[in-house]
Amino acid sequence: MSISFEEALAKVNGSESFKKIQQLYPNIGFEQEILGNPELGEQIRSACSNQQLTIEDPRKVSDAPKLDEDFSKYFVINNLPICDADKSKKLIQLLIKLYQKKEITFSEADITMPLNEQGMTEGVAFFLASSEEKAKLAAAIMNNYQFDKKHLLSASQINDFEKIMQAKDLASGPKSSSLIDLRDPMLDTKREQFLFQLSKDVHIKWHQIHEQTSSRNVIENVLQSDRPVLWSPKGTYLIVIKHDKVEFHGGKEMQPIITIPEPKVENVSMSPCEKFVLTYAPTQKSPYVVWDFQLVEQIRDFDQKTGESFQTYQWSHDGQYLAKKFIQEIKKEGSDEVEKEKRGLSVYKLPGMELIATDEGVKKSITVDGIEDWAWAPHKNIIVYSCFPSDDNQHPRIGFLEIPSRRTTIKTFASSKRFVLYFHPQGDYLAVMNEYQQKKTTKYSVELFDTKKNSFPHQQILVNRDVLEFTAIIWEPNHSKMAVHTLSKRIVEAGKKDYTLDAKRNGVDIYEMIDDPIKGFITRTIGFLPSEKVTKFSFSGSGDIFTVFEQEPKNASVSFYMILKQQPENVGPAQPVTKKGLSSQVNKLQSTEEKYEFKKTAKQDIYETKFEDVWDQTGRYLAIYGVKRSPLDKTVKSLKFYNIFGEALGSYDQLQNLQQFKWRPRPQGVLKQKDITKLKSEYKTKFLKKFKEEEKSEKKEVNNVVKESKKKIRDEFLSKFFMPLRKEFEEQIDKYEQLWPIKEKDMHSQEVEIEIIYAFDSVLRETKIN
Amino acid sequence: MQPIYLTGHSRPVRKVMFNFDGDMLFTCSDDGKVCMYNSYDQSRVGVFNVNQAVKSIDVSKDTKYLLASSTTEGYQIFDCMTGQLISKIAIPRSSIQVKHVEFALGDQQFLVVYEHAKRSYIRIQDTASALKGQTNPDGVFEVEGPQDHLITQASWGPLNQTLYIATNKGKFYIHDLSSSKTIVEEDVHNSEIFSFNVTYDHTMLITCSKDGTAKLLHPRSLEVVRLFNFVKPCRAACISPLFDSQENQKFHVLLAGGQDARDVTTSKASEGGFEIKLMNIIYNQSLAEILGHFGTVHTLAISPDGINFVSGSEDGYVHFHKFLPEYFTKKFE
Repeated sequence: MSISFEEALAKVNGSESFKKIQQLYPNIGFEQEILGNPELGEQIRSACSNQQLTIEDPRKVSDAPKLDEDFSKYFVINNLPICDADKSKKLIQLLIKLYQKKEITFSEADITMPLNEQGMTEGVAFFLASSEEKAKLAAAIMNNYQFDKKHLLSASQINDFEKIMQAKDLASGPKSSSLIDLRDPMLDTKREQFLFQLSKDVHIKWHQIHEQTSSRNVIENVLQSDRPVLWSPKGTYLIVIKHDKVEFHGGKEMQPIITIPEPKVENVSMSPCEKFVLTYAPTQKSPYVVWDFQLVEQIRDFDQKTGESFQTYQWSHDGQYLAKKFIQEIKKEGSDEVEKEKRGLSVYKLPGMELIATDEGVKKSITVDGIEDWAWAPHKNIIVYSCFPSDDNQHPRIGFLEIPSRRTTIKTFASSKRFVLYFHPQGDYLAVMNEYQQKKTTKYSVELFDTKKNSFPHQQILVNRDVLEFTAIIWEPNHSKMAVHTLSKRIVEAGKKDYTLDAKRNGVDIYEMIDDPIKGFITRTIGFLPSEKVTKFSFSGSGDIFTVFEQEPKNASVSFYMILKQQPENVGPAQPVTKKGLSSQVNKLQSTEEKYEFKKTAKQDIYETKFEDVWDQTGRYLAIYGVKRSPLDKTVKSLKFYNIFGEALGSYDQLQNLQQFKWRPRPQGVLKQKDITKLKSEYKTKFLKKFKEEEKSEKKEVNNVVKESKKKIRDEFLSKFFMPLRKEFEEQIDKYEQLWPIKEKDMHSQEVEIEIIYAFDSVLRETKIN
Repeated sequence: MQPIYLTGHSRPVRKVMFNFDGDMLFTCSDDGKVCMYNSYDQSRVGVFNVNQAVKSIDVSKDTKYLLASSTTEGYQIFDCMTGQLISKIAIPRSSIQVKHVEFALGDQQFLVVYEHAKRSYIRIQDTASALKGQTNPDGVFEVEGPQDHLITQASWGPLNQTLYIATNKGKFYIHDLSSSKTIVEEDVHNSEIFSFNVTYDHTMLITCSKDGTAKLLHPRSLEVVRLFNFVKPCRAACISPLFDSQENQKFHVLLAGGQDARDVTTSKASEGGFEIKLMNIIYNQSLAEILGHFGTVHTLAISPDGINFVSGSEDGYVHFHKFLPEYFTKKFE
């Protein structure tokens, strides 16, 4: 493919097209380009030889060679001291040294410091790191670094830089933002952020226990959004949907960082890795569009099919795949009758958005006969589905489909009528509500699977109550407890009379999963919490704490419970057992004797007719807020916070048009399991003291504020109200005493007995008796 | 701590009070009896038989005379030491209802609030003339109450020169006795003022009302200084006498009440509101709730030393409480 310049020029020269090219690019000589890049020469040549009069910019032709636009390894440092060329070398050496301290190595060749016309630097240095992660890290280190007295450095990746430039155009005044800035809210471990939306106004606030210490507002001004706003899965961005675009706000100031120019979007879902975005604009021709988030490029769009909604498409836990269920009707030729239905799952791999390939390399969707319900596992690339095959000889089943290997594990259940899948929030377990027919009666069972293990060990819990209504299965986040909320027929115990007329009884069964080397895992019953009017049940993520919502005729209430382990009284101190086998047996026996107790810590009334409850991600705080009964409901709602013991912390009242409330999510899985265990073991020695001291000083500060405000109130009360009146009285005391000796000492003295009042062995008062 | 239950009465208790020294406790009830207790060992010292529902009582400052109202007749004066009836005075009007009696400071006079033909009257009489009995109506004069309002309670103002008057429609008056004119008139509450309590030095005045609030008023201008929310109808309030104590000064008030007696059987136990609330006056904070009564609490009294307090209720019981030693620590400021 080598061609000499003369040849190329000779072929091109004189033709009209070449003149046109020269007009288009008057500054380019073309000699070097054609020699240096034979492909480009070929391009021009073929274009010219075809006598095409419409000449496109060769860089824009679809098959044109692309420039390396990947700047991910680069980052830039701004606001360095300005110096001449000689000194700049010293500066580079200094920077290398600085990075060596942080164990990041750069050579001189990796650093470029551009000079201007006067031969001076412009205070900017470009760095090339060995990898993207290194670049991120190195930029983060140097950002906001006090280089010397005058120079505060700012650093960012080139990619981020583009984002920042975009943000600056939109925001008023110069503001800086960087990766650290984006992650800013996560660095505050004590306070949680939340938002609530009043019609179009979005308020973002801090949740803190002590109100006085600092401002509660995250940002001063109020954001505007036409539709309900969302947090991104890791909480980095706030997704604001406007009528002509979708904005992603982030950073300390909540500026728009990235904008997707898609009009009339109704819903947005971001992949859990925050790299891809799916938008849904139902009025557009292709309503479903998958975007590359960082480049703001469309990857693929989908048409609307009947029966599909925004929830049809689901991201996998790491954002690697997007899946949907499809139902294809195969019609007989020539007639409209539906002969057969083909059902299955389509799984697309990102970033290409192509169907995943089979072992043979054929890109195909996965056919699952009679699929009903399906879900991604929250921790692995596994799809769990329930299906009722059309073939009567096959039993209903639950399938575990591994992606991309398509390896399927199937568990069948005879005579099942309905399945509902409930995944543990961390994906440790899967519970399936199984409604089945047994001798003309409908019965319920809970099928449990340990999804951590590859073989999916299975356990069954039979709900042996006369269940009228199966409300839900609730998992405890971060732990392995599960609650089954049912409405069942009342069972009157023998020898006890039933005084209530209501034959139904709500209740919650609580179970715990325990790892077992033989069976995979076993279940243990913790207890049954009978409650007549329980409407809702929720677990806190902090462990062993749950809340029960009860509806009474006039108002609702929430009760906070703690699960306490009750040690059997007769078990003495553990006796040393010599044989190993024996000791394990003893342990087992003890474990079966363990009893649990539900301790009610608090009960709070809720004055809302309809409400929602949300625990924050750490499980430390519960928020309860009022929900509109109908779209036209214009009454004011309230938002209240409680801690795990049920103490009311704070509230917002008089919220007109409250649309939604959301805690800001925190990124999960930042630390590896090893680091977490290490942190846990080091917590007591390293951090406990520090945290306690911080807490103490904070408390002190708050107390001081409270004390001062109290003192002010007291002084005002005394000086403005009480003391003037008292003074008046004291001035007139002679007149009063003429009428009656008011003070005891004024009475004429007599010999008296003394009566001493004791309370708890201490003298309270000595009194004279006449 | 568990209170001491004083079961001297078989009908709702209308008023409990300590005498000026604080060594005697008097309670009266609808069953026509007035009981006198020793406030140190809570033993009953004496019973005065009135044979009519007793809505109100008062004891002279030297604890010599007991003045008790006899609802449909008038009022009676007893000798506290012997228990003898000294004089029995009937008000010369038909179909009356005596609501309140009170001695003035110095015991020279006393007032009686009564109702006749839907009008209220305050009758003021010299103690000396009353002791002579029915025959001699010397030194008696009457103040006619406002139209359309019924007086629920009247008390003596500073130096016996004025009267505080509360009515069943939420109005509060200050009436000057020398000029017999109303000086200040204020709509304090939305509905009936059940009772009010004034400190002996006339610095603080608390009214409590059916609308579920109690209000601390400026005793001269009747300006509202603090508003206490009791939610349920508030029937009694009592300011702790420790407000001028040297050692542990406390601006505390006890509030009590609860739903009407007729609603008790038709609503839940938790809706009663029969708890006695201890509140801080300055910060308007609830400090404690004292449970125990199962009927509307009509009356409260704190002993002059501020250590004990007594409550009387619709259920016929009088509860004698002692403040715990913890109350006198910094926690309850």
